[in-house]
Amino acid sequence: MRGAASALALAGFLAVLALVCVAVMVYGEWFDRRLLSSGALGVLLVLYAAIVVLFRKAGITAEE
Amino acid sequence: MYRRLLTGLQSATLRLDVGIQRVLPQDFNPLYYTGGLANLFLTVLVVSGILIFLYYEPSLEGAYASVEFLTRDVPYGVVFRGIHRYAADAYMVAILLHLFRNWFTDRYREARDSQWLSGMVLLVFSGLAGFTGYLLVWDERSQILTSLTVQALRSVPLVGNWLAEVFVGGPGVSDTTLPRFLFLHVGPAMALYVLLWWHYVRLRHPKIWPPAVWVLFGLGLLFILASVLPATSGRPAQPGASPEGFAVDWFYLWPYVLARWMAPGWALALVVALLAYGMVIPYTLRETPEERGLRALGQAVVVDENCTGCELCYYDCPYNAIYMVPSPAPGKSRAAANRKLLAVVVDSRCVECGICIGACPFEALELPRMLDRDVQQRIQRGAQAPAAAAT
Repeated sequence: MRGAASALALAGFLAVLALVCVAVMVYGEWFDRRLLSSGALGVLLVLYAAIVVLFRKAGITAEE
Repeated sequence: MYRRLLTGLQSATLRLDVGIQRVLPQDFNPLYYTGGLANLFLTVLVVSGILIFLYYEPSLEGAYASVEFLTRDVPYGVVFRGIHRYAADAYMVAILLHLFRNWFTDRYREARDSQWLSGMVLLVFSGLAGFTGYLLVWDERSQILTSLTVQALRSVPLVGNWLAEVFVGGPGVSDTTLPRFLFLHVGPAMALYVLLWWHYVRLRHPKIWPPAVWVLFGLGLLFILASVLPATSGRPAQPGASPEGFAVDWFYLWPYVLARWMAPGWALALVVALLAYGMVIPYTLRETPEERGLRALGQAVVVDENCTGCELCYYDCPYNAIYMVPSPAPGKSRAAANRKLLAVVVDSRCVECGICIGACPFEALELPRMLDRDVQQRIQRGAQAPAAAAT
């Protein structure tokens, strides 16, 4: 139970980081710094992957 | 000695699985999806390659300039180029992991030699497509790679000069060279999908795509690499120049590193020898059935009167050797009286493993020369062996 709670807390933190990445992507596109934009997109995708693993560790899964 | 080495590598591979599963859920273990990951990166290569192809000009004068235009002036062009470049490396890493894992866990023997051989041909075509990608940029590195390849091909007895002419599209580098390189890049890449069909044709449940976690992670990693370490060209190729050094990509260009210490022809011979060894791996140190004390069992046979058409054997056969067909008549047993389907064994695919017999609860399959009790013991031995090796 405690493990699930900490996994969800970490997933929440990573979700906030993912939002920051979205802001960086918008900034990069707006100011023509496209390598920054695509780098932020890469980090965003890696964060999503980590969030999916953490959800699984917390027992949240679509499979029954 | 060689057998002990392979046994040690098998044990290490299985221990690695156990170690990874302490960190990740079992169905997220990336080592289970090395083939699927290779497919993911191949798909990325095809998509990014099509985008790059739209801007590429296959001529001695235009190739370098078109790649530079894509990199500097096309929005996100540098990112697509980087993704194409790093996906090629990731693809090679995935297929090498796939190759070594299947080699070390003995998944190439007996009926799986078809997968092994098709995998080796896939490796050759992948290497050819990857290597020619470096030539298309037509910078100094492309020039020296072309020169070394021509030297290596010319040293082949009897057909060497002809091979070199086929490679560059004439007696020397000319306007036909870059279109030839483009064909040698795209042609083998397209052939990979036909070879994949051969690779899968005898597998019942191939894992051809990784879980979403690894798709996201793989794509994310490619975007990060393409942004942090953008792919760039060297100086443009100069007609008649012979540049000395070049940046090495170990995944595709390692034979050219060997050419620093030996004649290019010998480096080519070494590559061919390694590939030839790879092709015969399934047939080395293979014990004959007689050596293992096994007798010929005969292919599985469907006992028509007992088959209920339940499809359990069809789903369990790992060799795709059982098909379900509409039943021409009801079965004789009570359970089979209302069947709609009937199992049929494809003799040429059956490897006499007995798995279908273990799958069938109606005693509707048998190996004609083996008792049911022997089959059950054999399946249990097979199930216990990997667990014993992992502990």
